[in-house]
Amino acid sequence: MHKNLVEKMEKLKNISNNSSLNKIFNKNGKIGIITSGSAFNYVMDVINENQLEISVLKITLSYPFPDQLVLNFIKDLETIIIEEVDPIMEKEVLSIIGQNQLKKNIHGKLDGTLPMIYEYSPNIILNALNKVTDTNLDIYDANMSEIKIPERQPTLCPGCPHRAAYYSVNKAVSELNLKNVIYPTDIGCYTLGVASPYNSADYLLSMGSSIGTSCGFSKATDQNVISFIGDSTFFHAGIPPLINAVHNKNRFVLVILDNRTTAMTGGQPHPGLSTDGMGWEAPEISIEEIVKATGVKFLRLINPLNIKKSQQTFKEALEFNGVAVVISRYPCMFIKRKREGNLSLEVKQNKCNSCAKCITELACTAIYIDKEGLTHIDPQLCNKCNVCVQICSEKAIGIKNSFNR
Amino acid sequence: MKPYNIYISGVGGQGIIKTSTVIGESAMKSNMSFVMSEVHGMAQRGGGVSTELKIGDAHSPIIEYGSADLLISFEPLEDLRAIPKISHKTTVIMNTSIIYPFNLSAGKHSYPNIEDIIKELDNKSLKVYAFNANQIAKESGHLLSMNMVMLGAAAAVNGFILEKEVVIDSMKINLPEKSLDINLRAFESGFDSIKSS
Repeated sequence: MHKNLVEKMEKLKNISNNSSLNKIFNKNGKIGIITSGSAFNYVMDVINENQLEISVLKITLSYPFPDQLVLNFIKDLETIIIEEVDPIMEKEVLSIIGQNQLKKNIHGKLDGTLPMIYEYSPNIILNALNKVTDTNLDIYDANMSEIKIPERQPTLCPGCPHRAAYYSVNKAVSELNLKNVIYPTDIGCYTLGVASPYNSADYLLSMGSSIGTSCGFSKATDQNVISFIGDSTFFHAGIPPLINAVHNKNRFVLVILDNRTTAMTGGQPHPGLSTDGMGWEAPEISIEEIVKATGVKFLRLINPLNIKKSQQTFKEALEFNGVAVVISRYPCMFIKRKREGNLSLEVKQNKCNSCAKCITELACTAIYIDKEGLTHIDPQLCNKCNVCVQICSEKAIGIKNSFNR
Repeated sequence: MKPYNIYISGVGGQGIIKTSTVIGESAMKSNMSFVMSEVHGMAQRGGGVSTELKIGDAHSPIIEYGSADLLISFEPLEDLRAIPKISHKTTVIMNTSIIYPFNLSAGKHSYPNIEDIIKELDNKSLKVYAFNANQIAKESGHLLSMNMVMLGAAAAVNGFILEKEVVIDSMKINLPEKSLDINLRAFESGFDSIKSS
């Protein structure tokens, strides 16, 4: 089997060396650029706009690397390798130079001609050419705004069930007076929990890593760990690390934020739903049954929009000695837009004491303070999740009085 | 042919991607090459959106600093954010209707005065056309036709590379039939607002 593969690679190398996908452009001048992918586009724009005499070898079939083609190309040229991300081709070219015992410098990321970081741009290519050659090419100037520009950060939607879950987790942590809690998170809208006032995302590595790394933290520290993962990500990569967590007797809280869709990328289905990718009926895989099957001894299901119960459940989970799983289930606002009925919520100004906790602690985007310092709910934005109604200590948020309309 | 570079910026939900698609289709109908890239990370969650369009002989879809021929901005703050892309050769079309970032009160900087924004762009570009495109869109029949007001305005600008009629043809292909009349009215109103200014 291995022999077959090695022989195949030899044949493929022959194809790669002669493939029209690996193509030489321009073919003039003393400078040669070996490039690939989007970097090729920047190189060509710079060459055309500045009418430079530079040969370009564009590598499209890069594995196995076309060694003969490259050897012939670099022989008589001062060579620059222009590729994004890691210097893969550059190391291949260095190996060709070594194998053929050539005395030759090449330029790229490894000698500092090009940066190891950033996606490229014409400016980065121009800078590199100015370093290697004596041409003094003009670099484009960036105007800067003299006015300071406020950020426009993305945030959770009004009525998003994740916001309610984060609010309750924070309350549970502060009521139990826990310090130095570690919050691993995963990939989805809920990663936005990184922002203030939620502060419920300490780091993000890769899909499923919230659970895997929680296992490590639970072994290495005495700190409480509250880990978050979405329903779709759980199906994708959360199950094996959960099995290991139970098997290795780890102790942490796992919140599965089940909003019944893959919200961040536009609402794709996943195995926990009764519709498949083609839109056909499909068996719905139960998250609860999977969690139970892994041997988890603490499993609760909450509706995150019910604040009091949710807080109580999170407190119990935090006190459990083992892996505690809380499934926080409520559909994404993109699925379940508005609650039925024409009623809308408002702030009763005679009751509101302007404590602004609905803004500083809940931070729902439908709630705002006007120029007079009064708190209001924007009826256009509000999705009537009723979470603000539950958290207001003055009972100042309620159904809008229809007589005042 | 040196590419004609258009930078479009605004906020998620304003119809920036659709506008870019109509422009791209118009370029291809006119037998010109077209490349485009878009930045729309988490746009649905209230973040910024921008697209970069190059019509003509270009390989890369990124507009280098100071190289935009036309900046179409759907929101004033996003206009300021686009300043690195513009130069004294750039025409700016801006919608003066504001969308406040949700966390403005928590941030370091407050929302600038609209007059100051226009002045800043005026200092750094060839010409600024500033008008309330939301208002024009509402008068045309629906707020959501604002993007076509902006496109109509672009079509009226000196040196705009595409024929008005070709753009209208592309609108007919790319927009839903039931809102086409409103969108066409919005486009013409945008066009007239530049021609008459």
